[in-house]
Amino acid sequence: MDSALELTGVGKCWGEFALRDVSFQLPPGYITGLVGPNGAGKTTLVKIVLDLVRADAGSVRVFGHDHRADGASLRSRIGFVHDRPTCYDHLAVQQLGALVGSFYATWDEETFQRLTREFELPSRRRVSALSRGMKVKLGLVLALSHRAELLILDEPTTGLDPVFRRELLERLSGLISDGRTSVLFSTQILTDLERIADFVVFLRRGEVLYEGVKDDLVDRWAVVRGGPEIGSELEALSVRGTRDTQMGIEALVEDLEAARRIFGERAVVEHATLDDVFLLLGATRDEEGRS
Amino acid sequence: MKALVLKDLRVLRPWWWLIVPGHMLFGSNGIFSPQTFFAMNVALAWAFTVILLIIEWTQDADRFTTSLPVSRDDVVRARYAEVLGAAVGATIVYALYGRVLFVFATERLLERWPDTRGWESVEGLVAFFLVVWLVSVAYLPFFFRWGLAKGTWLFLAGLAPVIVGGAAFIRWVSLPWTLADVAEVMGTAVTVVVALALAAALGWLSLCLSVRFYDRRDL
Repeated sequence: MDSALELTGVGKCWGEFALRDVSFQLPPGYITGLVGPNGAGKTTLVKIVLDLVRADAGSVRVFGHDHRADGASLRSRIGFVHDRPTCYDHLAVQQLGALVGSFYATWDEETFQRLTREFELPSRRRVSALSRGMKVKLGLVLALSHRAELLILDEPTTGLDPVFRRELLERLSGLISDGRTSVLFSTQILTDLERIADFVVFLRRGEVLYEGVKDDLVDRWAVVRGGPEIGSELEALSVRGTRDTQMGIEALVEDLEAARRIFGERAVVEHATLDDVFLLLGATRDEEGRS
Repeated sequence: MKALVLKDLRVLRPWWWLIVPGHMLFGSNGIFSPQTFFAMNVALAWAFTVILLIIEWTQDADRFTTSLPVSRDDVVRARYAEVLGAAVGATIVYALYGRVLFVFATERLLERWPDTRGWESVEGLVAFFLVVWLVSVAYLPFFFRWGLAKGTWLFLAGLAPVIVGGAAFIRWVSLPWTLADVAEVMGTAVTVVVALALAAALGWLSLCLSVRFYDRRDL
């Protein structure tokens, strides 16, 4: 079966910022989290997938098709929520629904009405009068009402309260239960990833530092904390990032068991959390020294 | 493309009611000077395009619209279709003003405003349409290449010398100045056909440029 989304060697130069050789796949029926600090290139990547920004190199395939060659028809199968989730804020919710619906042959007015009620969106209220959370809800309702097979959400949970964030994430989890809908969402909130992502793509300074199954990271990767003397022994492991701490060195390694065998009681070896990965992946001790 | 045009009409719906009072207030304001009236109506016709572009720009609608199942070519073509529709509509309104004036005005009144006869003449209407259309098709490539703010500034900076220089040149070589002058030399039918053909050609060229610019732009 074709991937819902496949990026191969995607690159984009934008002034001082560069996205380099980005490759990953999004299997159908799963949720993939795109995570990275500010300026990592998440939004640029989302824009490239939606063909809002033209890549300088590489290819993007959506449902097995080149995303540019057949862009309009592919976008009819994609639902999107941008970081600014809605548009034409002077219109009422109902009017925006009618406007967006007119572009999709698969638009389901009944679904739109039902979701509007479920999300408690006041259909006659102007979009400009909605809170950020309500706008995200509306963006999601618009994306879901045309039976999108691929949902692309750019930091949908940023600025939302915890209650609505949880509701949104549960809704996304429910979506993929049909086995045909896939979700790509970018975020900086790691608890969101922990809660719902099946796959994660870590971006840093425009490069993919990790792409794979989220549980592999959590189950197999480890953080090693010890004095400066452990530095030389780390070379025997597959190290993905290090930094100096007040105690000595903190390192992210790929193999928890191997780390435990090597260090025994001489260092603290623990399962890596996503926070650890976010902090340490791609970090170097030289970089720490510079900063 | 049809969906895009309908979308824009929906987007503008809250301002539809402004069309009639807007015309009455601004269009009629220039009634004592045919040139001012002409310019006012051109400005009002152009306001349709500009208001839409401002809404789109302030709402960052490019990203939203091009994420919908439409091609960028469609987005550009829809904008040109709207501009054409606005130019035709404005020309009809302009002609209606003339009709109303000629129905209700007395001969004595018309003698005081000899230039107003152009409002109902074929050359006058074609000239009006041409101005609205040509200003728009000259502007749109700037908009699609650089966006609203930068595109407008560059357009104004580039257009002013062209208008001033062109007018000076035409006067210097003593070419016929208005379409009515040209029609006197070439005949009305030939003048109208040539003028509309030129407008179509320039529109086509402008469209090709806009499609090319917008296709390459990062949104």
